[in-house]
Amino acid sequence: MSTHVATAGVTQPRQYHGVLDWITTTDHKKIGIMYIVFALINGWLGGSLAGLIRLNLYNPDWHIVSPALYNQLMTMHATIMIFLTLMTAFAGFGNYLVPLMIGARDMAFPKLNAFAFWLLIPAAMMLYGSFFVVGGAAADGWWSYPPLSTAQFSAGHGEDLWILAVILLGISSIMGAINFLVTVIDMRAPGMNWMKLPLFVWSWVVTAWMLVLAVPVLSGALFMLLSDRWLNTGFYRPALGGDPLLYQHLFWFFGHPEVYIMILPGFGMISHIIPSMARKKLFGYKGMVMAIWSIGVIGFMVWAHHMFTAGISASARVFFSMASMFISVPTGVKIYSWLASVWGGVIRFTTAMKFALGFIFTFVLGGLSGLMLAVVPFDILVHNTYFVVAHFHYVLVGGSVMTLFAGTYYWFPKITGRMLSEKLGSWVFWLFFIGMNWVFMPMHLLGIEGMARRVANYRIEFRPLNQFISEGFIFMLLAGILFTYSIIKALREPKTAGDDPWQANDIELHLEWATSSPPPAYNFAEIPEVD
Amino acid sequence: MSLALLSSYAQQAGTSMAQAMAQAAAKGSAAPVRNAFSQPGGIVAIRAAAASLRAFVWVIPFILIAYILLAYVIIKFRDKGDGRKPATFHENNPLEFLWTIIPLIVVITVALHSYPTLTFMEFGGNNPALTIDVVGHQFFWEYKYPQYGIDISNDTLVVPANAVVDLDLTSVDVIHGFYVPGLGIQMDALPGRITNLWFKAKPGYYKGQCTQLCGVNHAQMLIDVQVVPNDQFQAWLAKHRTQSASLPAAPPAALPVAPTAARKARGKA
Ligand code: HEM
Ligand SMILES: [Cu+2]
Ligand SMILES: [Cu+2]
Repeated sequence: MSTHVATAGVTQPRQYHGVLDWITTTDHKKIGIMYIVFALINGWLGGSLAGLIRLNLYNPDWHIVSPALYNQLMTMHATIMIFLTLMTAFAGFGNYLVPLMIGARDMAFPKLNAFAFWLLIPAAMMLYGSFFVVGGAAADGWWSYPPLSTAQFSAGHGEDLWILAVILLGISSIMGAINFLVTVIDMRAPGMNWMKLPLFVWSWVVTAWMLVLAVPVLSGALFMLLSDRWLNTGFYRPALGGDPLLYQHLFWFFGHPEVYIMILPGFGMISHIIPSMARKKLFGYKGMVMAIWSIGVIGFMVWAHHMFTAGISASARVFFSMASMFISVPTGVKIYSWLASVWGGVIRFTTAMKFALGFIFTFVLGGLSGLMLAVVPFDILVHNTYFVVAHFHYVLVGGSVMTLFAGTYYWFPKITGRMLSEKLGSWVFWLFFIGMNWVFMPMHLLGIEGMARRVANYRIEFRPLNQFISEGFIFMLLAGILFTYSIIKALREPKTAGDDPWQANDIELHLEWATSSPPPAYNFAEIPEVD
Repeated sequence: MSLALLSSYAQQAGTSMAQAMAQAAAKGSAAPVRNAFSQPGGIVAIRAAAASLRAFVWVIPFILIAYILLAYVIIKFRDKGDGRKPATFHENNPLEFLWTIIPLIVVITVALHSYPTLTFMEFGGNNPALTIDVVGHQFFWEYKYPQYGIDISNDTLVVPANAVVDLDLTSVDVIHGFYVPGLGIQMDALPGRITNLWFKAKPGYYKGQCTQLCGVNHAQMLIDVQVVPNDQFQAWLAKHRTQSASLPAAPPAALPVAPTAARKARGKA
């Protein structure tokens, strides 16, 4: 079966050069690179919004931004980081690496793949453009709860553009996810059976399933919202017999799986980097695969832990609290297996490894603060405060973003044929790691002290901690600058990386390290056999 | 500061009620924001904080184990350039079974441990001495004391100390969140629904705020609660009833169900 796809790929003529080549390409590697560059650009833009937010909170008396603009910045920061940065970055690495790792020449549907990528552009244009429409961008948060997001309370077209953009991004994700599933199911090289799949591929299989199941629910919820806004239906409007809580259930039915969609591929990356750098086979492969699947399944049964104070019944809270507890068990299994993978190894502290170990440090904290939040009485004390902000930034910045740094340092040589500077890398890591903890650690305290999130202003008592937090942002900014500089610098250097710069294949065969760096068009002259 | 005092200030100074309120808010802001851990304001906050700490005690070992192991492997298994060969083991079923089953038992314990407190917070407020209807508005809170015909808005919530106070929450526009950390309470106020919470507090001044993004001035939607001994509360009531009677009636909130009916349905009336 792999052969007919392969020939289809090989006979495809290469027609264009330069920019046109990138625009018309259906090559999974080029599309992957475009996704990653897109993510990096949006990371900068979304990060700048975070900078403005922190600047405003440094001293709200300065009125750096108006409260109306603050809500727009906060909404767009989250939307950009989630949908345009993290999801696209993982989609990029997935696109680049999955076919290579399973010994395929391309994704199953190369044109669909290109289409899914190019859909991002109009979506991004709608999101950024919405800042310039009357009333400004969407300002109701990335969760966009009605009735606030209905026409009565958010009349501007910013909200409409936001809804349409997120629906578009959802369509793109679903197409991407189906492509990943078919690719992995159908195009594995001979001998690459399921229990030999590299963990990054496994994590993408589960992620893709989650996308396929969760995103349509979000799209449905958003279409109903759009219809409430434009067609005067009343799905979410009590006066017309609707119910705002319906939206919350639908949104979080998507929203919780979504948070795992944003971390599972990162887990997969770590499962490659740690063994390579510790020069030892991954510990507990089967347990890892089972853990990813349990997360994927239980992840659909915990959504209402985001609604513990929404007035849902006590018995519902008991159920969702227990289910959320369960999900930390497979997460724990992954942490222990990574530690056991390092155990007895001979560690090379490359930048990739520093980020991987740093990731374990921060993710443990983020996972355990999540467990605390699943304890309903505690959640009542800190729900919608800065404690929650601390929790999810520990898992998303300390988790997902750190895995992306690690993955970039690890696979950059494969993708470009060039090494990133390890010296600069060390700076990037320490600046980022210190900055990240500096910024987000004190937020736990702010939340416990009772500072609400999503606020442009706060009671004067919270000022000292807020100023301290804003100062830490500078470290993360410096890390971002150095990182970007390091990439640009490396791209001007000769391609000296070699096929397998980390000697990953000394430990275990990984097909992506068995081809040249960068790999040739269509990856493998001959489809490899795995035994 | 009680409202009785407040309005007398206003009369004396010939200032508007709004200005007097601003003064009161300024006075109140001298008191720190209390939270359930440092200065719990009553049994609900105490129980909630205790349940949180109990859970946290279970969590600490997991933080410690992970961090100690992490530090250990980093120090012990560095490449010291001595040509040491890496180990080759890569599975250990009993170990993997243990690190699945032990955390599983622990998290089930943590969850079960929290349920009595959850039940207490949900159902513990029997025979409330006072029931208040809290109505969220963009961007202020309206407090109605149906037993006393009092209806105040954008003002300090005044309640008697050491008595079960029952709050029925709803909203006339968007979703708001009623959050007073020192009292250990948080509950959303949704349009078209009535949600409920209760507390029993020690005298004091408690600060809170709206916790559901509700629009432009969400951050300004603060909550101030003054818990006073019963005699002061009665004085406040007496004073305020006459005040409130002479004021024009507040516009009726769009309540789909009469709050009292909802309370009866829950058997709390
Ligand atoms: C270890 C298991 C985890 C548990 C038990 C857990 C639990 C929770 C709970 C209970 C909340 C709701 C808190 C509240 O709103 O009061 C929450 C919020 C959140 N969590 Fe987690 N979490 C876990 C892991 C993760 C991971 C891995 C991610 C992402 C990579 C994540 C991302 C988020 C986000 C983004 C929110 C906030 C959503 C919002 O309100 O905007 N969590 N988590
Ligand atoms: Cu969740
Ligand atoms: Cu509000």
